Amino acid sequence: MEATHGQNASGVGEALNGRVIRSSIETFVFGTRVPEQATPACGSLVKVSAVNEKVTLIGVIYDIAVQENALTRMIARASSEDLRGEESALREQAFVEGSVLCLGYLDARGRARYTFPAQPPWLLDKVLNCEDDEIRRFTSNPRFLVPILRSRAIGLSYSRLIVATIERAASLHADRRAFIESCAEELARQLSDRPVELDDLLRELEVLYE
Amino acid sequence: MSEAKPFPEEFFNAKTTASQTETLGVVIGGSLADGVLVRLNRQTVVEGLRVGSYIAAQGQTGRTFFGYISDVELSTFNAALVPPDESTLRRFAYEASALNKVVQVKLELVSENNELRTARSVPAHFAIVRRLTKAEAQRIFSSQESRSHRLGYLLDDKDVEVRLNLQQLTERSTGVFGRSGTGKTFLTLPLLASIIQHQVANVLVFDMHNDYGYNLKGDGNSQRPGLKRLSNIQDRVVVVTLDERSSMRRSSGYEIALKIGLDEIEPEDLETLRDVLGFNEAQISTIHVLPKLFNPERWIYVLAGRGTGEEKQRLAKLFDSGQLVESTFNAIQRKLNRLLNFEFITEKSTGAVDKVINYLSTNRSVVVEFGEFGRCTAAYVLVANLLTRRIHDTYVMLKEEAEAQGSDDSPHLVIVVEEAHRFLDPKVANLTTFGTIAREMRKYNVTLLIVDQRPSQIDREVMSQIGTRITFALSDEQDINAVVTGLRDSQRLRLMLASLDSKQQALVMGHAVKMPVLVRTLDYDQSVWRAYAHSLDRLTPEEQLAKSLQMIRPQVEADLL
Ligand SMILES: Nc1ncnc2c1ncn2[C@@H]1O[C@H](COP(=O)(O)OP(=O)(O)O)[C@@H](O)[C@H]1O
Ligand SMILES: [Mg+2]
Repeated sequence: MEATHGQNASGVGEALNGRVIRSSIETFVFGTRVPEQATPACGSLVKVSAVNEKVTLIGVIYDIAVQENALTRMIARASSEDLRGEESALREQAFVEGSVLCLGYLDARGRARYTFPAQPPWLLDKVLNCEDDEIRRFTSNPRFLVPILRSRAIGLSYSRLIVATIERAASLHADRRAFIESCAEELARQLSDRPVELDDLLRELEVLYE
Repeated sequence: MSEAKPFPEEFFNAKTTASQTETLGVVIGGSLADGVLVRLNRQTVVEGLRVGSYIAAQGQTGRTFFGYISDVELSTFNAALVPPDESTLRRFAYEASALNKVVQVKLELVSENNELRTARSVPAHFAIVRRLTKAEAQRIFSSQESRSHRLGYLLDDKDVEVRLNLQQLTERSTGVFGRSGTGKTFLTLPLLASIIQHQVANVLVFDMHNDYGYNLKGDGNSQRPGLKRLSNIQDRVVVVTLDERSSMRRSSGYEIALKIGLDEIEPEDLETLRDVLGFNEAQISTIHVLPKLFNPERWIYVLAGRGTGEEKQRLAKLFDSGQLVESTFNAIQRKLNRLLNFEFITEKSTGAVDKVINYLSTNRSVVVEFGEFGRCTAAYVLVANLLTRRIHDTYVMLKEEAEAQGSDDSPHLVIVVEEAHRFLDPKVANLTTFGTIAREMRKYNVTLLIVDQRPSQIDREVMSQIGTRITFALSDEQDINAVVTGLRDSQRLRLMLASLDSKQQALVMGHAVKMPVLVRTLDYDQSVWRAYAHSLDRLTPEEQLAKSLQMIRPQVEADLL
């Protein structure tokens, strides 16, 4: 399941190619060494093929941390030109940690399921960007939004994540407006007890809708 | 993905024609008695669904339920909702989730094994609710009988005709209600033409406004043909007049001038005038006692002040002895004075009443024109009661004879009365033959078609016997009550009544329709009267001339005299 495309719809130049470095049922963190322009983006959907290869876990990147290394501080402090070459090498290949919220999985028959798989991804499992078709399939049902709304890990920033996720997926759907409508409808249902938050969220989506 | 179609176009396009069969929503609860609740789909436009619109609900077992919308309700799950301004997406999202559009649907019929029956159950939760297809609407509202009458079309859908089965309609009494000017007469006239044309019944019209015979006066100076001018049926229509002068003035021919002999009047006939002339109890009992005090054939002459000298002496004696109270007698006399001196009252019977009865028992229909006397309620009530009593007796006899001979083809009669409450007022309904007819229904093949603007003044029991009610707009709360009380769903029917425009829109319910139906009545215009007038067009010019002469002959003769 190597990602071979150079391009995917999430707009990231390179196919993400990371490894799980920490995981639980709800969230996991992957690490990767990428150039700046290929930094993973919040709201992108990523996948992890589980060990048994039966299911493909789907998650959304909700946080990204660029890690320092031994050279970072030195270069930052240095004023001389000596370290120029090092700097570009460092920037070229920074170590990035991405936090992923698990949204569900595609089962052995390729059906989208919006619940946690029985086991978390394992250490060093490969993390790849989802392909367009997988994104379409997974987001064809607005229930993919529910784990974001319910997640304790995300907390109050869920609305930004939702807007980012919908925005990324929308461009892949033939009827973009209908897709946004179905998401809005689901959100309205889920957030009926939080009218102010709902309204804010819908206002953001409106920008995408026009 | 949701089944959402392009938005917002469809959202703003109200779909109001019943021809479309788009899904409206699903059943979410309710009961047969109170109506089932249908949650509308987001796309369904509430405004496009008026109370009274017909819907179908798809049952689980191949049954289809039919009913009509009886109420519409908007609600929200969320009172704190921030109302969206113009924004379509937020509107859409709220519409889809937090806002509830619910209609209440009264189920009336169920189609099972291709038969329409009264609904006695409801479809399950989530049964899909949709508009009727054209074919279903036609099946329900357009009688396929050849002997049917086109009343108009669905208020909701011009393409679906409302046709009444005439046999069913005339089996029981019919009421045409509505305030003045709503279209009662314009509806009744073509209906009668159909009844006559299809030979469903003979018709007797008490035509107090002179509408039905020759010319039906419309707004402005327009005139439309009465029954006698519809060539297809005119041979079977006889116009009789109470007021020859008025007939001539209106160039309205007539076959006979109806005269009522004093000797044809009975105490009961005067009693029915109780309200109209204001007789009190004492006066009524005096009227009843007169035939016993005098010769039963002579009492009326005494009362009319035309007694012989001998009778006058006897009267004086009765006063003296206290057997008659003079003031009471005089009061009765005073009240009857004008009536008994009208031109149509003759000393002796001229046989005209018998002639009318004879017509009616030999397959003719009769229009009794009152001329100027239509303005005199007492004259109207007296004549209509007297004739009806005699006719009813005759029909009872005919029917009993027919039964004795084991045949069942004695003629059927429909008696049409305008201002029916004059005869069916609670105080007189038990006295008049109209009351009797209404109550005994079709037993003797005589039914009523009552036309009235004040249904609240009609005896309740009589109202309850009316089979089919055709009701135009009514403004008086009591009148509305009178039309719907005693019916299942009176509250809902009231809403339907309240939605009627002031002209040519009616709610038809009862025996002759499968479920209550809002009708836009047919314009009574050329296209309609042509349907009853084929023969004249097909006649040769000579025949046409002969026909026309025949029609004006009575007038010519009258002029010559
Ligand atoms: N079916 C109809 N076709 C044409 N005109 C109608 C019709 N119904 C009502 N009208 C118009 O409305 C007026 C009142 O109708 P009418 O039947 O005389 O009312 P009502 O008998 O209820 O007092 C008529 O003069 C006519 O102009
Ligand atoms: Mg009238």
